[in-house]
Amino acid sequence: MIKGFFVLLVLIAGSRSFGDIVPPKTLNAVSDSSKVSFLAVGKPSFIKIKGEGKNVTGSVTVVNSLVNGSFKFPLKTLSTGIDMRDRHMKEKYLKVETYPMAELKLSEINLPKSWSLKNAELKDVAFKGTMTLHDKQSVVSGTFEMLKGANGMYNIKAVFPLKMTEYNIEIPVYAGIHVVDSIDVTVESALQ
Amino acid sequence: MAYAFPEMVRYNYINCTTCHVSVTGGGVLTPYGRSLSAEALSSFGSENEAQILHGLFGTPGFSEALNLGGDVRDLQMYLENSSIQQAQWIFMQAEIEGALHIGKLTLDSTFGRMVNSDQSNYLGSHQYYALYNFTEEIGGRIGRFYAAYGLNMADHTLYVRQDLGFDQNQETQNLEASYIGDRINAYLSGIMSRGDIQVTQQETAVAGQFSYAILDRYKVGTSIWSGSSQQMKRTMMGLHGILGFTKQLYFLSEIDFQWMTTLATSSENRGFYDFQRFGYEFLKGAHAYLQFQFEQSNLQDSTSIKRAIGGGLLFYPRPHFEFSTEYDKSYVQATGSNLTDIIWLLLHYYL
Repeated sequence: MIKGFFVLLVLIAGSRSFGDIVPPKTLNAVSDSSKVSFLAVGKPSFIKIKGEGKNVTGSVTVVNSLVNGSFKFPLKTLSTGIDMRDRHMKEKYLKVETYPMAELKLSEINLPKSWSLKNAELKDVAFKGTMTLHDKQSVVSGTFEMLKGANGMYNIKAVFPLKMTEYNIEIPVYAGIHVVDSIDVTVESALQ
Repeated sequence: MAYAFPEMVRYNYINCTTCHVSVTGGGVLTPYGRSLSAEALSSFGSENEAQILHGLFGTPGFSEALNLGGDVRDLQMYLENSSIQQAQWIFMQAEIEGALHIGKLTLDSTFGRMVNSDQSNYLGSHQYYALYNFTEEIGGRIGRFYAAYGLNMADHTLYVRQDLGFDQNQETQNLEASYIGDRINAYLSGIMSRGDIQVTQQETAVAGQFSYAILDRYKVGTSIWSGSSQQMKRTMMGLHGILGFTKQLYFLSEIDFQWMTTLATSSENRGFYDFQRFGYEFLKGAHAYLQFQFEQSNLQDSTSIKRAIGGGLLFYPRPHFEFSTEYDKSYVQATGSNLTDIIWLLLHYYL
């Protein structure tokens, strides 16, 4: 009987530890529903330069309460709504023919222990990542949010600042207007 | 000189100083404003073409230190009602403007054809000022220019411009402090005199304007004015908005109240002035708009009512050129029940 009791204890302990192991889950970006946007400021006159890029690809992997992932997008898709400005941005400063892609790698975002894919809502979670742009890498940090969308999809949004000079990008100057070094970047993606 | 085009908020350009040297907008263009006249304003055009003299000499090396501009405007007008038919060609304006930047100081002046009250012409300047930028946001200006009040619109015949003292060549001698920030624009002006009118009519005033940009596409503001002359005292208050709903659709609005006391009779007069315009850029450089104006300069006297409803087209085919036409059905109570059809065509060349 005692032997049976110990076997029962082992089985109960075993079932509890098996229940704690969550298989990794990879979510892939839906390119059509993903975009990168940025806000830069030109001075004087506080000119607001808003741009968007598309064809974002990437994925995030959730292992227990850790998230890793990476996103890429082709810089040639960037547009600010004014053709001349786009040409200068892509040809003169970003040099997209030489450095066509930008990549953001998310490194080990710690999610609350109560988080699960069934209860996926997250707001203002701090994250650190590595941005690769213009053939240079630099650490970026910002905030990350996640919402459950329709049809089993998840919508994420990562917001962070970056400085152009950290990527050896020359500060854009045009017609007496210079762009402030720090720009705000937002990556939005639908994942499934 | 180019005219103010506040509708550029549609492109997130919420500060007039993006395109113009003047902190209140209008007038000679900055180098960036010149490039936008090709890229954003006109149907066709190149960056070089937007430069002075159509880029004949490329981009002048002095273009950031010395901004040059000029302006020629002609108007063909036709009006008709049951009493009159009148066609008139008006040579409105021919002048040049220059703004010289020396460190934080800017010296600006126009020079060209001026018109006396008897319609005789002379050469002179209706706008000149010294502007000092203490910081990127804070500036001080002294000279002759329109004090900041309401929308700085090119059409000086609008009720909210013409009938409130902001008609063509009615710029005043002012001392102004300005703050041009990320979202906030604020102005405080001391209006001293206009030298070209009789002393009894010269008004001294204090005026203020505050505006706030929302979502980088909407700008709303309020203005206040308190002034007096030997003949009257008045206070004006107004609200205005420049709303860029989309890159194509925009709305301009201004309403003003005026309280005026005629000193000789001690009679008090309250007036209301209204301007609304919906515009749509249906092709790059081509706009259609609907417009409504209302004025009752004495709320106790219905004969002081004026109304105009109409619409127009604006066309900027290439940098330096503007063509505009407008039709209005106008009603002026004081002249009886006549509805007047007014059509005008404006040809505008800016250097």
